[in-house]
Formats: sequence, structure tokens, C-alpha cells
Amino acid sequence: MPYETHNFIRIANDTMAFIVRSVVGNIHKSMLLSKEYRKMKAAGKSETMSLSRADMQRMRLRRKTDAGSDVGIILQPDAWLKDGDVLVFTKEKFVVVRQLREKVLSVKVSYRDPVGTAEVSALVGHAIGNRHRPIAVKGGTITFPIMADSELELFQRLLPVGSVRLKIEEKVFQPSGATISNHEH
Amino acid sequence: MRIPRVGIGGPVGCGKTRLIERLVPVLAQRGYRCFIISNDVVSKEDAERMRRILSVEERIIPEDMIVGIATGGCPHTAVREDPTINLAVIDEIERKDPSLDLIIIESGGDNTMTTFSPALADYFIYIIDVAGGDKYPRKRGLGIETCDLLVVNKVDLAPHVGADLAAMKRDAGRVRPGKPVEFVNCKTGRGVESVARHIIDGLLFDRKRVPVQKRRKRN
Repeated sequence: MPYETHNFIRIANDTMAFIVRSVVGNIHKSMLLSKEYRKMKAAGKSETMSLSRADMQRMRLRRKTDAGSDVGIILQPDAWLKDGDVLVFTKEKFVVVRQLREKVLSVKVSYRDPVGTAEVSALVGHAIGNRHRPIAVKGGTITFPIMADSELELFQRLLPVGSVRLKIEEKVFQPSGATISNHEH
Repeated sequence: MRIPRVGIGGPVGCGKTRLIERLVPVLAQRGYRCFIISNDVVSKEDAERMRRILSVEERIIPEDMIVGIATGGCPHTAVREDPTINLAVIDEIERKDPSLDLIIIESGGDNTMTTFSPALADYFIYIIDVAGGDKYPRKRGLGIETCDLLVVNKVDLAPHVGADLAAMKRDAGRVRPGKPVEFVNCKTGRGVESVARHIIDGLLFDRKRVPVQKRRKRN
């Protein structure tokens, strides 16, 4: 039951581009789309558009899928993409958005009493905040994006090392709260 | 309707204003009507220069389609973490003339870390010049890594400052795989056509294929 929510334009180099003005739905939220995705994938008709976190926040962009399909996206103001969003669903093509993994540093605060934990957490928040990084907080662990492994050394110096555990990971990063205008430097 | 927006950022003196002065005529010739917003700390000198060149001398766009914003602080703050002032200007532009094709937002400062809030710009060009040293691309930074198009300006100066353009191209490809880099000389206009092509393909989706003559009549 394909949804025809896109139209086609012919672009300069005479290939065909999809112009997507709204997403069809999300395979993580719709059981129907999830089922259709599995069917299309099994039939070799699914394609993935891999996007960075920064690209996911855009309202207008043009990228290629892993199969080379050229897709232009024009979303309504204040709308942005999410992992699992379906951009194209026709009889022949199913294009789904995947957010790329990125390098993050996770900081697990471990202190012996609540007052100490609060103090250490404040210091951690201060150090990360001074670098204007978006953060995700879950289960006592603060995670934030880094650009290179070398940043581990910086944060080892800035943070009270005896009271925190630091680990570099590669994962899909979702900031806590809305941080579309995040400031990283 | 949101008018497509391109953000142009880069260090002071790298040629952002000159790039715009070269780009706008190329885009105008293809029928694209542009509005320009220039962010600076306290002066509006760049906006005034663009008015003189693009409006008075070349008569490409009317004077009131170039606006200068004195941000009062580091200009990057007005295009990234708090773009309110730019968004307010754009809101007014979109209400006044929704048929515009492109809004160009210029902002300097903040060295290699300049980026634009996705709430403000849909396409991001980061520009550097060879006189800053050929190490620039490999030193990375958010601006260089995340921009849609990296522009290296003042290529004519490369032999005079000992900049290795091949090394810059190789390093740019390494730190931003699969993303384009263009080498230009905004003084002569060399390479600016290619920059315009990237904007037309990557942001405007080449939606105007009307012959130039026909577009001119309509305008």
C-alpha cells in the first residue's frame, strides 16, 4: 500500500530526483510501516539515507541514498528528521532515514554520597557547558559529542577524575531536550 | 513559505563579502533573485560596500535588498546559538517578498568553528583563503568539517605564501569525505560559477530552468 507523497523533478544532469515535502511516517513508530519496510527490504527495494545529527536538523537538504537515489527534502518550518523516518514509499522504492553514529564521551559520575555526587555533577556540567556541547543525560551518565579522541585528555584534566569514569564511544547521539541551535566550540 | 537560505561563514578577511559580490550576478543571470544579510560586530561596512557595488554600480539588485546587522558581539552568536535577530529580519523579508529565490546570510568570526543554526540556514558555505596557510583544512574544526561546501579563496596568492593547493585539496577530502571543495579567486571571479552551481543543485534543486531571457522579461 505505497504512499505517493513525493513528486519528481528533472534536474540539470538529467537524472531524476525525488522531492520530499513531508515524511510518510516512521518505522519505529508505525507497525504498518515497519512491516512494509521488512517486506521491501526482503524484496531488495529498500534504500537508506544516512545523515549526520546536524543534517537531521535541517529543513531543506539534498542527499543520495546508499543505492544512489537522489532525494531533495523540503520540510515545513520547525520540522526535522528522525531516525526511521520514511521519505519515499512507492511500489518500487522504500527510502528510510538513518542517523549516523558519532564519537561521544560518556561521563559516569560515581561518588560515595549524594552531596558529593551533586558537587561532582555540577563541575562536570560546568566543564561541558563551557564548551557549549549538547548533552544527553540518562541513568547517571552524561554523554556529549566530541570531535576527536584527543579530547579525552582535555576532559581528564578538567574533570575530577577520581569521581568520574570516562569512556569514548561511537553511537547515535540524541541530545536531551530541544537543542537545534546548539553551540559547539 | 520558507525561502531557501545559504549561510556563508569564515575568518575575517577571507573574502566572504567578495564571494557574495561575485555570486549574486551569476545567480541573477540565471534568474534567481537574492536578498543579502550581512552580520558584523559593530559596523555595517560590508553591507554598504555590497550596496555600492551590486546596487549602485552594477545595478544587479535594489539597495533595499541588502541589509546589514551589527550584532554587538561576535557575529557567530547571531547565526548559531541565538539567531533571533537574523530570523526576525528574514521573517520580515518573507512577508514582504515571498517570491524571492534565495537569502544569503554572511557572518564572520570565530575561526574554524563557525557554523549556522539549521533554524537559520539550509546550506552552509565555509570559506578560507590560502594566505591563512595550507594547514587550514587538516586542522579541522566544525566549520570545515560540517559545511556543505568548502571554498578556498585567493588561489592566486598560493605561490607567494608557499601554500600547497594540492595538499589543501587532499586534506579537505580526508577530513570531509565525499563533500565538495572549490578553489576560487574572487578577485577575478575564477571558480565562482562552480560555487553557484553547488548552490543551485544542493539548495535550490535547480528549480528554475526557464531561459534567462524569459526570466529577465518577467522581472
